[in-house]
Amino acid sequence: MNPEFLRRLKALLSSDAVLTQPVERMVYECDAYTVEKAQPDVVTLPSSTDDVAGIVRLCREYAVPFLARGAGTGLSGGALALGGTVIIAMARMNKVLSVDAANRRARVQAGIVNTHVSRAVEAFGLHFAPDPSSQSASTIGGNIAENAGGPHTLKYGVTSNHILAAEIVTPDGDVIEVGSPVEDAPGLDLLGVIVGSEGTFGIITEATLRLTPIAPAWRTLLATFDTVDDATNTVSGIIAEGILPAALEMMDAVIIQSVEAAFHLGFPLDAAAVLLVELDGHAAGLDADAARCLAVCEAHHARKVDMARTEEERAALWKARKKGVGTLGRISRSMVTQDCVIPRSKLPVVLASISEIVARHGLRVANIFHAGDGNLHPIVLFDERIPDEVERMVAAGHEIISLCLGVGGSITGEHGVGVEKQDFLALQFSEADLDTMRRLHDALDPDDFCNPGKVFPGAKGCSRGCTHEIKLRQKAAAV
Amino acid sequence: MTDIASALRLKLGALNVIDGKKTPFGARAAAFPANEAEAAECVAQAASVGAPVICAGGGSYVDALAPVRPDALLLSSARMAAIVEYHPEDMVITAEAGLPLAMLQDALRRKGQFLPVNPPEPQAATLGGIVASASTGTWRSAYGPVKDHVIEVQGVDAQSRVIRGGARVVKNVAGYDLPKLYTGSRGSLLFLTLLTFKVRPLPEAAAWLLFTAPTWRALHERLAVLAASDVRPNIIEVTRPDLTDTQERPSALITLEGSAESVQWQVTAASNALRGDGSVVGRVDDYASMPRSGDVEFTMRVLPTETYEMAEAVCQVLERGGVTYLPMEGRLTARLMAHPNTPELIALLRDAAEARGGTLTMERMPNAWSGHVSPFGAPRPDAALTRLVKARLDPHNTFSAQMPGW
Repeated sequence: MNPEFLRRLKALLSSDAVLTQPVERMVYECDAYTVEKAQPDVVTLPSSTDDVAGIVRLCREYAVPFLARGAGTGLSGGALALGGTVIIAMARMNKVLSVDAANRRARVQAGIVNTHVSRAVEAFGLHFAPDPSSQSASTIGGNIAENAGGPHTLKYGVTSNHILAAEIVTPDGDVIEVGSPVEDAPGLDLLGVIVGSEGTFGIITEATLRLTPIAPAWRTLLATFDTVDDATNTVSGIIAEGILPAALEMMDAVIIQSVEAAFHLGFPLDAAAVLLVELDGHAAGLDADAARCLAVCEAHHARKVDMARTEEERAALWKARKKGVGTLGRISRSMVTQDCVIPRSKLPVVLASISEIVARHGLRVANIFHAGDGNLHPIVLFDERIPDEVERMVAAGHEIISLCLGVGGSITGEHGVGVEKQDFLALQFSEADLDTMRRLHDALDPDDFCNPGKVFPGAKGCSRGCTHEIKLRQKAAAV
Repeated sequence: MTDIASALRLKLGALNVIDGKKTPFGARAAAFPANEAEAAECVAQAASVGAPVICAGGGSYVDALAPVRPDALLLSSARMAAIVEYHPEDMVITAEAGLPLAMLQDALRRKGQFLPVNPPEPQAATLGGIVASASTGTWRSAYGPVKDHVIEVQGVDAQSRVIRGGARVVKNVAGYDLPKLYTGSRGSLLFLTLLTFKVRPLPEAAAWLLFTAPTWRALHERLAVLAASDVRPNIIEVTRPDLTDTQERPSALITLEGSAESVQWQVTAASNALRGDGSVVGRVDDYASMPRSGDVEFTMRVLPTETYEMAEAVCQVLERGGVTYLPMEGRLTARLMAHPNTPELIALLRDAAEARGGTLTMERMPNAWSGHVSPFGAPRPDAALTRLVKARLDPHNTFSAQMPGW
């Protein structure tokens, strides 16, 4: 790394806001997608938008690519520092700047943790609806970059439905406001494409969020099934009944056993699957809807259906769902969470095929996912110390993705493309589609400085990712 | 351009290309492709001679903001009006862009579902027109803007390629969110051909309460009480059909939807909350929500809490015409007949909206105003980025004919 660049970086920020020691940078070598690792040359910790803009301008001056990082909970390698990238870690920009409860809006810095927003506005009877399972750690900036979802997106929508405006530092270091607290401004919806662009259009430093009233009442059901087919058919049955639950989640036997070993919630260890169904809204009518759900479950041979009677019981069920993946660490050294979406009606056949695929590769799979959205999260369990297992895990993952595309699905529903699924993008979209996306990218980051090497097929190891190294060498040679 | 018409007749058939004096809106030619390949051919032919392409759905707003350029090719999706795929169990439907909304809703209703958009004139409004103009209607306050319901978009771009963004599943983050980009782009980037929506189950029950009050202030005060209650109306719509009608009693239509039990409870609770100066007329089955006809129509957007103040400003400034406003959304729509001083009055209102961080967008205005009255007002802070995107995706400005100021 150019010493002059480092010196100016340290002059720009406080002394503890530039991390250069290997042991400090090691923390940032990957996100929650741990299959690939790349240590950044420098990690910066800005405290303000001005800091971020200053870092970006300096990076441009020295031809150094950069990327923003929230909490590093991403599951597709989007925060991987490819090719000597400077990481701009947003952890210190974590404040709620203002709350406009009457208009149900909040302005926050991008590094604030998702649940901290809801906590800050709870007294107004409001919350930030997107609730990814990582919400106790993941940041709003990261949620925006990935267009994060979560269990309650079935009723309340994903992150893009709840972002009204954002302050963005462009790849040139300019600070621009995109969108507005007043909705529906005429013109192209740039905010709509920035959300979910995986940090490739610029760095979001602040956002105006739409807040949602906390539902006055809820009913949370746990239905236990002896077969996976019965559980998945129940999902279709509930939707067909015209019921739109707030959440409709499924956990299979591997997860049930793992969760039970960790939390002792009384889950039936011999069940093939459980469905977590949550209904919310006015108290009036909720019992009737719950009764309809119960009838659908029973029609599909549910062994039993329990209803949470207290907030504590409800919280315990949600703990199982949101912490379920973490409990797998007790039974497997390594795991990779896939993230595909399929039409809901294909759940029975696709889940059966996934089991067959993973078994054929001599591995195990756990399923804990957003059944109501058809958003699968098959978690392939393996041991990263055994090269052959890694290869088989990758091969199984590829087959699963192809399977989902084959039934009209998508390669990712909420985790993003990152580096994990770049090459699969070309299976979902034509060359003309991808060219349109590249044109859009090049309009906003023509020199590919902002989180390079991500999203596009072949970007990680090809010219787009490497150009900066060449530029950097040229710059160094010139100096 | 005559050569283009001849060339397109060979591809589309003689009956599907119009030129000469019969061409709608004074365009040099109009083409009605039956499929994407024909649409791509039309765009390619136009681009080859640098003729602007004007995208048209039902055609009701083609010249609403500017006269149609006489050298333009009017490209209509009217013959592309089929439902291509519908899986009720997945609550996803794919249809061609020229399909009128009412026909889509009929198909959905038969399966107990609906697309939660209700712009005016659903018999004429096409899916492509609705998406291109981001027209959601009054259901927006309950179900969100139309962009939240569009999950896949397909169309012909300025390079005359068929391109697609999104997917036919209810969640998807693969690649950039092109459906968001094209929704509301007013035909400036893409000729829409195929659209996929996620739909919702029809509410089990609905009730409409018509609430009247002796004064506008009393009306607003009672609605504030309602907003602070546990009632969650899907829509509150206040209409002043004509400002000159001083005999009219201020009224608001309140829509309640949900399960039968929930709606019943809300009707009672809302009636209690509204008790006071006004009175609940009762349940109504139909309601003429739009002001009377006029050749000027504009929409103002402000923060929801500023809606009443803006509504007062509209009523003070405009001497005639009608206004409908949705206080839960901060949206006001006015329709009136043009008078010589109307542009000045609109400028005053635009200043007032923009001073509050809002906007005033012209939806329809006399062609004579083109060049004098800005359709969209002050440029947004991200206007420079918008221009960069437009330049990359449509470098020869093929799709910009009806986008004055863009």
